[in-house]
Amino acid sequence: MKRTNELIVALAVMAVIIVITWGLFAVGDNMPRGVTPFSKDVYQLHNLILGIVTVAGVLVFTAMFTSIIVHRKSKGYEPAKFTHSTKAEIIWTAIPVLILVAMAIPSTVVLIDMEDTGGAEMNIKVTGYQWLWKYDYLEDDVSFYSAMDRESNRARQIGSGIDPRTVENYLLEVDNRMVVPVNTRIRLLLTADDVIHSWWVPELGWKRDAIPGTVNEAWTYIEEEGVYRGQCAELCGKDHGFMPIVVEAVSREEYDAWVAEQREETARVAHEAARLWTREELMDHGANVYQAQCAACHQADGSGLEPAFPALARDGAPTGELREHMEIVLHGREGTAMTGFGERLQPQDIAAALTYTRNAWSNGDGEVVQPSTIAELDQG
Amino acid sequence: MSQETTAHHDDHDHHPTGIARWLFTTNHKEIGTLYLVFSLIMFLIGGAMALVIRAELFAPGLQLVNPEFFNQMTTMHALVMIFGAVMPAFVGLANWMVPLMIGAPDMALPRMNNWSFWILPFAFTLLLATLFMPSGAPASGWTLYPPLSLQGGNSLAFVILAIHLMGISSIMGAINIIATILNMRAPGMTLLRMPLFIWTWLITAFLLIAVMPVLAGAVTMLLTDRFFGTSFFDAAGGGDPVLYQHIFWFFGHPEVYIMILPAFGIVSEIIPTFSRKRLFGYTSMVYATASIAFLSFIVWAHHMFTVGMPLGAMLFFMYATMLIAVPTGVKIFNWISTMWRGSMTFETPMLFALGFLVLFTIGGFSGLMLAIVPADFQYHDSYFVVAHFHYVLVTGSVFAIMAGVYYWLPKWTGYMYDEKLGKIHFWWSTIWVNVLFFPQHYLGLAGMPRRIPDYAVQFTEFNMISSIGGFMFGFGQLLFVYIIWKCARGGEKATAQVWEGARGLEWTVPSPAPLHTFDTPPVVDDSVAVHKDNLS
Amino acid sequence: MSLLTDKKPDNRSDRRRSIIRTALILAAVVLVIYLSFIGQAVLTYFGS
Repeated sequence: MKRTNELIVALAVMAVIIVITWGLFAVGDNMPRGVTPFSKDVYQLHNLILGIVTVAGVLVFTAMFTSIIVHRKSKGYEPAKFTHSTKAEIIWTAIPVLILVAMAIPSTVVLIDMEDTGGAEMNIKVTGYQWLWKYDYLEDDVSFYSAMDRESNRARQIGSGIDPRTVENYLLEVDNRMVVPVNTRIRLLLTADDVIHSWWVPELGWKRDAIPGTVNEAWTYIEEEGVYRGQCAELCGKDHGFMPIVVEAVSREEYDAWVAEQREETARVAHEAARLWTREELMDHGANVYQAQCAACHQADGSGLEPAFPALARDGAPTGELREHMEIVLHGREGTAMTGFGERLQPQDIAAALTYTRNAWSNGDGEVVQPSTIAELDQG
Repeated sequence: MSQETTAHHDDHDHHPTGIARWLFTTNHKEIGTLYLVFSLIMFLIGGAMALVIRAELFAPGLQLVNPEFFNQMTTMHALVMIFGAVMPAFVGLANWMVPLMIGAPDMALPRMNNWSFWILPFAFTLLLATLFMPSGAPASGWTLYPPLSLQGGNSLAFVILAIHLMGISSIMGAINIIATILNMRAPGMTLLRMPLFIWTWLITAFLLIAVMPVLAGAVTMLLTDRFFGTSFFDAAGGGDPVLYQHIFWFFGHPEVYIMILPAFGIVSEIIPTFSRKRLFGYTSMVYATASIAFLSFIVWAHHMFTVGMPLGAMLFFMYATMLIAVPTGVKIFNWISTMWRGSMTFETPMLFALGFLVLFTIGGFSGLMLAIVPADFQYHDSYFVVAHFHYVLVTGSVFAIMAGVYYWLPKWTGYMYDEKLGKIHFWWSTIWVNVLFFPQHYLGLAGMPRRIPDYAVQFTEFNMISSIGGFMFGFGQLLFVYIIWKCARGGEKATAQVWEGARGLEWTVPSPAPLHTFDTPPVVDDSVAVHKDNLS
Repeated sequence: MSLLTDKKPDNRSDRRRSIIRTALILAAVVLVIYLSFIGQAVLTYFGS
């Protein structure tokens, strides 16, 4: 009688729990299946484990709530006297162990596959900076920085008044995407220049830390053309949330064309660095560089954010000696958040930014800095 | 089982009053109260910081705070909650209940006990003061990973000193607890007759002693790297940032068990009482707790699966982590078996204990998912992890603390708390805590990283829901404060027994428990012991 | 003296000695762990 009662209640309880569980699965999205063999393996593994723990949960909660309903003092239920059962302890130790072994096997297989980075057809070195990424394609000799795009950067400033929902791919677009060919085994070498970052593109199926002083390896093989977006996944300072990753997977032909384009661009930029620029060109380009690289900290109007980010309008390095100003912009300032830009920007960008900051906001003394001046300096 | 409460009144003539009473007390009950009040205040402060976070994350875009300040909030929220709210609350409960449960007149080292407490307000003044310094509070996460943590200003030194002080407080407390439990049990209170709360605290105290010094070592190395020219964690000088992570998490993983084992103990006291049935599988429960504690030392790298560890290491840590599910599962099954065919009533302590059982289990399941390394490559550093640890810490540890407070308040104050309000607090908290944290599972799976002040628009809906849950849950805790205050002031008088099914030495002293109890050791036999071990 | 057995000292001064001994043993454990970490930081600073 007791047993039957418990059983009936248990079945009803289980039904309710299953409905609730189904609802919880329905309201949210699952992890993306992704576009690489690894991401698909991880997706399946994730579903398997989630399925097992869900079943376990349904059973455990059914027992619990059945007891709550049936074994109540208010229903006049008398408490039983049993206090232990060695048999039960053995069973509910052994069965979970077996289930865990069953989980561990596919997990091990998938992991071993991921960790085998051999047989790469191309290598890309990924370097994390505060707060952007750099990509060096080792075989194709292409190299560029990839920072969050201007639209997002402007919209995300506090009190910008711009509704993020009007910005396309808000926080998930960059100025220079990492373009790669599909169906190619690509090895990624990850490191960082300053603090620990982490490179994560969910649709590729993994993330890996980019650690200064170490090179981590990972590989990917993208099976479908498309654009895949990710973000930095290790707290790296104030703009940790604002250094996205965009991978664009294209056909082999499109990739080769892109590489050729990049090489032309490199040559063009080098030429630009060598020629003479007019003041107007420098101010114009300088305003752009300032907005993209400097405004986040020093503010668009140069007012800064004391004490961390000095004001530049009618104050600070732009109003002082050019030598010192150049030194700070190229190599950063020790012990502060001001990093050096000498490596990551072209000479014309540095020259333009220097010219701009030395002349904007009524700082102006008409001083102009030529890209060739910068290019000639030893950029350490 | 006689109890002398009227003798030694001449002592009380010399008992100080006012501030001096609280500053110099060596009494375990008063020190317990100090810890609990301190912890409640810290809980509200940490909660306020959480609300700053959830307010900013309510909508995409940056509306309220700068990213730098946001990072300070996430860092301080965790430090305050872990070291200021959860740990001191458990120590407060231990101080009050350990001597009462084992029939001892006080803790083994009462003066050290006083010091253990008073270090804490000083340490937290130091920590919270960094918020007002020019370089701001630490903003590199409570885990303080270098090189990022070394980029800050001088406030790092204050944080490190604060952490050292908190560590010393915990270590002294742990020594006190072990010395008390091993030396001062009443005759007849054998180890296998001790309440589970005593066992879990005994084991927790050993964990504290083993790992707090390791944390001290880790932060000292941060200090010397930053101020004294060493390069433990700087590759340019021959060091390695990952070394810090290993040392930190060698502390960090046992730390989370330090925060849950006493919770297991509390729940193991409450469920038998309200089921009117002895705890099922007492010996098993003791062994399971010890196994969990042992395993907690060999799983630390599961917090670091993405740093680039050798394959063999990742496999080892995956298997070891998965194994913890076994003793934890054993405990869950034993609690349910205690309920099974008991005669249950559902007063507030029982409601919180049952809430713990369901919701901590959910947190345990997400933990098992996180153990699977290839899957963790997606989950790590996403909101999935945030969801996991908040389930085990809030609906786990905090719910257990609340359960313990409701359970023992009548013993401490002599008055029953307002049962109706207690139930409202429980239901309000349970509903809103799930609205707050469950959506974060989806956010993590969808690709939202942690520790970001702003997010891409596809994460909007669940962030909004989570923030609403946060505010509602947060404000509901003010009800908890009111209930405690109201209970301390008066109410229905509590008997010594308080709860019909309660068993143990603490229920043999009057309510409120007199300042001095068990000056003469009580007699311990089967009628009082929670476990019939058939030894005598 | 007993650490983990159930035999405990009967009189006050034995118990006091036992408590102090427990506390000192534990403090020694703490010190060893402290020193092995902090000690190396100090040694490194002084260049040995």
